[in-house]
This record gives sequence, C-alpha cells and structure tokens, in this order.
Amino acid sequence: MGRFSPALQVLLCVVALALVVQLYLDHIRPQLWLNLHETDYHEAARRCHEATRERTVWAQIEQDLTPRRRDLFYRTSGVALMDCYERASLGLTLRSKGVGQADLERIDLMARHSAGVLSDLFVRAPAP
Amino acid sequence: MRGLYVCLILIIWSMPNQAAGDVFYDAALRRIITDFNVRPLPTKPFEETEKYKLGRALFFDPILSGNRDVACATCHIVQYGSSDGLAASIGTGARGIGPERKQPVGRLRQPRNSLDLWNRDNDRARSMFWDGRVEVLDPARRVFRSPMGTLLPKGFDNVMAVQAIFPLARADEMLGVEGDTSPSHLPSRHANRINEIAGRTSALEGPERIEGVAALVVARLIGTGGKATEPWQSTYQDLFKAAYPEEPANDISIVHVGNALSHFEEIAFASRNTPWDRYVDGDTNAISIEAKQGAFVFFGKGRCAVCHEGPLFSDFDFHAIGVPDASSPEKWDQGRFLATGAARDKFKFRTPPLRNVTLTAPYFHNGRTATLEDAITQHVNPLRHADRYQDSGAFAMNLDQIEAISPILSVGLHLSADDVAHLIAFLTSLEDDKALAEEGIIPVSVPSGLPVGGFE
Repeated sequence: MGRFSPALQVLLCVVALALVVQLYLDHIRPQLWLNLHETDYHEAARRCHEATRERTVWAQIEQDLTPRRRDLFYRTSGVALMDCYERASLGLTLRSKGVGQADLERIDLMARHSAGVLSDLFVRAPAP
Repeated sequence: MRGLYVCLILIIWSMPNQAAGDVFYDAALRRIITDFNVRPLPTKPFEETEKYKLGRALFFDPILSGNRDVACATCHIVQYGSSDGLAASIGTGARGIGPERKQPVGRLRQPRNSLDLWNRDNDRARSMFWDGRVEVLDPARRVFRSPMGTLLPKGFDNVMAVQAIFPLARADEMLGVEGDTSPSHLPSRHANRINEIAGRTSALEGPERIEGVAALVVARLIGTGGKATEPWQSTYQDLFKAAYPEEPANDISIVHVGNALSHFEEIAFASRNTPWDRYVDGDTNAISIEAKQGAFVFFGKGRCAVCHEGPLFSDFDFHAIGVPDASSPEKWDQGRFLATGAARDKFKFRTPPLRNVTLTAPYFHNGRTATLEDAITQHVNPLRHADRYQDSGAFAMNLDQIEAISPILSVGLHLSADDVAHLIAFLTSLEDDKALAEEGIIPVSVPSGLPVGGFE
C-alpha cells in the first residue's frame, strides 16, 4: 500500500468495499435467503398446487353434497388456497432480497412435480 | 477488519425472520376462526348438586345391571377418557377393567366401541350411539326418536337422558339373560342372586321389554310402593328426594334416573380446560406451532371440518368411511341402517366428536384402529381394505361397503407424514388438561355396597 498515495489508497478501499457490498447484495444475500427459505417456498408451492388441483377435483362431486357440506367444503378450499397466498408472499419477499425469478420457478416446478399435479391431470381428467 | 464488521452487520440485518411461520399461522387461524365461526366451548360450572350426587351414584352403581356386576362406569371409565380402551365393550358376566377386561366364554358380545361422553349436553349433540338410534327431533319441545317409539315416557331433559336407559335393557351390556345369577364374588347380599330383571321381562320384546326392564330397575333401586326392603333402597329414596324435592316418591320413574345420569355426565364430562379454546379466546401461546399447522390442515386441505364441524367437531350425521369388520360378512355391522332400515344408510356411522379424542383409543365403531395416525390414514385412503382378504378368505369389504363410502372421501386427500403429525398435534390441543382428574367424580362407595363401577 505504501506505493500508493493516501488519496489513492482511500479510493481503492472505497472501490473494494463497494465491490464487496455489490457481491453481497447480488450473490451472497440472495443465496442466504434462498438457502434458508427454499424448503418453505417449495412446501408452500406444493400445497398450493395440491389445493388448486383438489378444488378442481372436488367440483366434480359438488352435486353429491348437501348445501351445508358444500358451504363447508368451499370454506375449507379457501383455507387450503391460503397456501397460494403464502407462496406468493414468500416469493415476493425472496424477490425483494435479490432471489432470481428463475430460481423461484425452478422450485415451483419441482413442487408441482412432487404434488403429482402433472400426472394427476391425466389420471383425474373427467370423461369426455 | 472494519469491512468485516460491516459485512457481519449487513448479514445479521438481512437474516430472515424465523418467527414468520408463527405469524402466518396465527393470522390464517384468526381468519379461519372467523370464517368457521369457531367459539370457545360453553360449559356448565362444576357443581356437586343433589342431582349430580344422585347421578354419580347411579353412574357408578352396578345395582342397575341385571346381574349386579356392571355399571355405566364399567364401559365409561374416567381414566380412559370416558371410553374403556377396548375395541368393543364387554358387558355383564366379565371381570377386569378397561383393556384388561376379557370376554367370558358363552356370553353375548357387544359389537361396538364404547363412545365417550364428553360435552354431550351441547345442543349440537342431536343423536346418540354409533347408529344414532336415539335422536332429538325438537330440542325445544323435547321430542325424541328412540327404539321405544311411542312408549318412550315424557319428561326427559335431553337426548343424553333418553340414551342413558337403553344400555340397561341390552342383554350384552347391562341386562344379561334369563337364568343368570349374579357372581358369587360379590358382597353376600348381592352374590348368587337371580337376575329377576331379565327373567321377568324375557317374554316381552322390543319397546315393551325396555319399558319392563326400566320399571324393574327403578323397583330394585327404590323398592315398590314407597317401601324399602333392601338397605340401599332407602338411601336411593333419600337421594331421589333430595334431587327431586317436588316429586312425590311414588312418581319416581326411569325418567328421573335418566335425567340424573345425564346431569352427572354433563357436569363430570365437560371440556373446561382446553388449549384450543384458550387459543380461540385469544391466547396465541396456548397451542404449539405444530398444532397451529394441524388446525390449518384440519380446516383446510384435510377437509376434516366438512364433517367434524361445530363446537364438538362433529356434524352428528352419518357417513361410511370404509372401516371393515373382522367378522364374517353376514355379521357385518350395518350401522345407521339398523336404526332407520333405509338402504342408503348401510355401513354409515355417526361422525365421532373429537374433543379428548386423544384419550379414547381405539377408534371407529369397531375399534379397528389403535392409533390416531391410523385413523387419519383411513380417512385419507378409505379404500385401503378394499382389495384385502379376511383370515377366512372372504373379501374384507364388499361392493355395498365400497359404494357406501362418503363422496367427501372419494376424492382422495393428499396428506404428508408431517400433515398427519400436525393434525395429531391439533387434536391433542382439543384435550382437556383435567380430563382424567378423578376428584369429585369417582365416589368412594355406592349405595348398594357393590364395587364402585363394577371394578373389584
């Protein structure tokens, strides 16, 4: 450092610090948040996919339910769909901390797969 | 070094809030509590009134049974959450407590699991027994439907009081059969006595027999024509007089017995100290995060609240959920059908209330499952027995049973192992902290001098 003038030393320190902060904000912090919340996000997304899928399937038996049970069914569906709000909320939080959209979509796709939604579309499709 | 500090501060500042889960579930449950109109369970205060004391004596006194060897308390045991820990209850002629009780050879076997008694005074409890054969049709005017039909006496306080008289008249529960004598090990005044109640009513059938049994039970309790010929009868006369001071002694009937039993049960078996109720009342620390997650599953994706609804977590309606019997097919329990005779009711059973369910294993009408985990799994996969065989080689379920399964369960639920664990945590939060407390409930002795509850 002795080779540089004091002013240049300060400038170099500022640049180095800026680079560290930039590195932290762009890579370390998003990775930290992703590592800490990936499981939560995956779980919320999986539950959301399940809730959406089950609501569709339940609609097929709606006519078999009494009005009271139909009402309760819709209320339980509303509760189950809260997981979708949780997924959205957590997704926004993660995005605000720098987590990339591509990462969220990757997790979402894995959640969709583990919820069995893709295969269920074939198995549970209503008869034509 | 300074840069390192800055980094550390930044990292700590940006660390996610670990309590976010709690906040989410609390907020979600507040919404659920509003949407489902969930309220803390209203209960009557514990008070040892004269009617309570009479009901307690009757509940624990085996003198009500034909053979003087079983009481209500024999199959509704405080230590087993007012059930008995057996898959199917064992009535007269047996010895032992709870799971230790063994079916005697040659005696009739009562086929169903002992129902708990918690909070049955609640207005939502409109049917009794697994098949709902005793129901209240109009609570305000106290109109009931029961196997006694038009012979059911007037004056019962509620459906639980009506229910209380029917086990007295069942041969496999408390009545016994003609020719029975009481066990020789009982106190000398009661040992080897002819079962006059079963004997003198053996020529009667149906409602007439229930009516005859009821009259003889009352006569055994308090004597006839106001005359006490046995020592316990004067004690019971005093208890009835204290409980019903306005009632002439000659007018005491099975209605008063039922009402006193019902009063005791509603005071003794009331959930007054339940974490879930405290949570509903605003104490967010009353239940664990796992229980909160379980409530979220219960009222949400698990669809439990579609049938397990209301303050007692039961719609008191009837559903088939694919629980097979181990007996030969011709003996399969057809549930609600036995009460109504309607084909659509085959294999349907009443939705069990869930308060204190953690204390009342085994589960279902025949005690088929030993654990809550297994009971939940049955709901998730009601067809799991459909392709299985009995030991005899017969199918475990037939087409009628399969087709009877409630459409609510036919969709197929997706619950993970964590979901099931959380549901159990939630059900545990429905357990009364003092459910097993015996003080003020179990008497030291009963007027007849027989073993309390029929237990030696």
